[in-house]
Amino acid sequence: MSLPKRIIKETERLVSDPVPGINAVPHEENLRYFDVTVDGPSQSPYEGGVFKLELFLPEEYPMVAPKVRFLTKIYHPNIDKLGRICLDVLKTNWSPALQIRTILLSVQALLGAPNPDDPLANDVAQRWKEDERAAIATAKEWTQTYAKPEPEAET
Amino acid sequence: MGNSAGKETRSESPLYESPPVVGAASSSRRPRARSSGGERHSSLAATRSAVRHALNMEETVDGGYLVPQGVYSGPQDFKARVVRQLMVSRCRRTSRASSVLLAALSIDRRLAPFFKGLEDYEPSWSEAELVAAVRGQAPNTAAASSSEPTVAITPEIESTRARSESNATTASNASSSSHASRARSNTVSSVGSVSEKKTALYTALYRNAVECPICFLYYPPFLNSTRCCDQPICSECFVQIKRADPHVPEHEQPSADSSTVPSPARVSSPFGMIELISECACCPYCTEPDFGVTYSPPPFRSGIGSSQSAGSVLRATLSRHASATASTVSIGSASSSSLQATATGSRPRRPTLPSTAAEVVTTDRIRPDWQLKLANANAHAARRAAAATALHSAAFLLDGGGGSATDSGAGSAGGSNGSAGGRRHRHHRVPRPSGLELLISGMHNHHSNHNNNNSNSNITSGGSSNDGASSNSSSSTNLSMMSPTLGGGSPTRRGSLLSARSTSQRSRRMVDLEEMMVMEAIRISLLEDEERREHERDQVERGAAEQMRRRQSATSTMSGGSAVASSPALAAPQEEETETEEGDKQAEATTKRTTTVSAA
Repeated sequence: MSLPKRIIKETERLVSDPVPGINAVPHEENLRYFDVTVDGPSQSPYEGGVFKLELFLPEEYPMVAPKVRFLTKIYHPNIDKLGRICLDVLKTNWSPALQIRTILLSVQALLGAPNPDDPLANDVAQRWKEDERAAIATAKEWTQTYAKPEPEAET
Repeated sequence: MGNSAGKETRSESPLYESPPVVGAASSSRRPRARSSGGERHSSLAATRSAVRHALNMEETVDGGYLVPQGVYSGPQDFKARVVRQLMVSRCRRTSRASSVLLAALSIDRRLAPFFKGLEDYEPSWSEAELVAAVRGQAPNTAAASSSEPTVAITPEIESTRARSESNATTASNASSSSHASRARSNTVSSVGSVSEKKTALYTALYRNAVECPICFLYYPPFLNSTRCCDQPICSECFVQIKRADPHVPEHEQPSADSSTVPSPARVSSPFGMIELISECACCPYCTEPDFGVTYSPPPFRSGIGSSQSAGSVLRATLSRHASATASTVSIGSASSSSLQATATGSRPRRPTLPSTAAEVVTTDRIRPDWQLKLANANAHAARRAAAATALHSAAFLLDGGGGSATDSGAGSAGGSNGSAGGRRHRHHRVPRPSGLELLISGMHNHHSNHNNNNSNSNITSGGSSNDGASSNSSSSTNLSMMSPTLGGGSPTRRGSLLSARSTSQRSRRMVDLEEMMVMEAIRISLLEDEERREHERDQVERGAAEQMRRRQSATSTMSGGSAVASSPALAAPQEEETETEEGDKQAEATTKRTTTVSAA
């Protein structure tokens, strides 16, 4: 099965024109599978953290959304403990005009703007609503614990 | 291959202003095409389907193909015939008949053909480089999509392309004049060298190629543009975009501007179950619902090859929208009214067109079966719901009417007594007391009718369990159809009757009571029927049946006893009934209880 030109071009452009704070590298044996790192956005509890994600482009891509999952443990109302992400553009609002680049930017934006009203991790969302300050403190703590830039910081 | 020949000829027909070139080209080439087609037929003796396939593979319009060129490897579920028609015209059916007729027929190119996508494109490419790029891919994709027919037709392709180029040249005269090819293409059209003509066509088409933002391939600038935001999209990508598959409605709507989202297509379904929906496809760029595109064909096929309009052609190749205007003006024929709408609005930037506009091709248009699909999905879901309901109520009937129920029925339902007892409440929402009597009487009649057919065999022979099940299921279907109209209360939990009495949950208890009464009413009607039937039987059989039934009631009393554990509230009246078998009196008792309940 040959790789669609779009995936090849996207990969090339990710390398030639990288997005600051986002890094996506395909596996050599499977060019549809990407190792991703996303820097926690500044002014957010995740600032200073480097979060590892995995991204997979399904057969139907770009007609269906890529599958994205956090590998690094993160305290966030829209990301559950398995790393799954509740993000509209990854589901119903996916559009084939979006790309790996834009979707990762959306993920990064989600870190900067948690939405506890549409939660995936209910306990986190609950805490976020009840005591936002404490929740943010926990998120910072987790960032320090699990998302240190060192490679061994990953879970 | 009169087909492709016809197409090319047809496309030439609007070239009013340049009859000499076109006329010469078409008249000189047509016989050759015919003969080569004949050769192929005879020499290969290909099957009809293979020929058709080959035809589809190699037919071109505006230098593009009529079948996808393999950008997407998945299954293609759009209606190929519709797409084809949108790309070509209505004359496909008659194309073999006569090229004169074809020439007379009008063209409606509403969707860009499947152009070959270039992996790379540089504006600085020379003509040779450009052609090499286009050619470089042609063999690959063709071979990938179909191996042998392609090989078989190769000479045919050449002649086809040659012809298409011959009329393209007139345009490339103008469009590629910057490359000093005017003189050359003139000679090309007269000499008719295949490769030269190809060069001219490719140059004309792929100069100023644009990248499709979805598949990242480069196409001629004559791409479809979205009706909403006027962005390019190639046909290959367009035919991939479709409605969401039928699914249960979720809380989220596909786009943020929920006000403009049209209500997703709904199909009313019986049984009051949740209808499945299939949301319309949205524009990939601006998420406007009811995605649709328009297509502005390249000007050179529309007959702007003459010297007087050469200037406009030049302009047209520079600007896609200007080309729309120019071609519309010069065509002035087929779907003039719709095209004019495009033309008038295309000066600065075409405004958003409604999805209902005549020139817009929507995703639904090329998948006209979506409504059928949705209806099928809904019907399927409804059938499954009905089957589940039937199963539950069958179990409930047999459970409730333990004494009278048949062996077979009890056997089929017996295993699920407990679970059915637990689930049935979902399906039998009981009305307010005022409506209860009505319901009971309705049930009563209904069941009498049903059991006329089936109870006989059940009782006497203990017959096939299917009989019992079917009668029950059909009656329960009615039950479930009734339930929504009765405006059922909230589902209640099984076995809560006793506890409900002690607690203050009066409403819940009421519902439970009502539910029990309905069950009893049904059971009673069953009993009645049974009795009537038995009286009608001849005496000899009756004796045997009597005996059998006694045995049955013994066993089912036992099964009823086992049900006591799960449903003590229900078990008491049930046992009482199996003993007495006085249906009428029971019915009276029930109605009395109903009135007391309603009084309470």
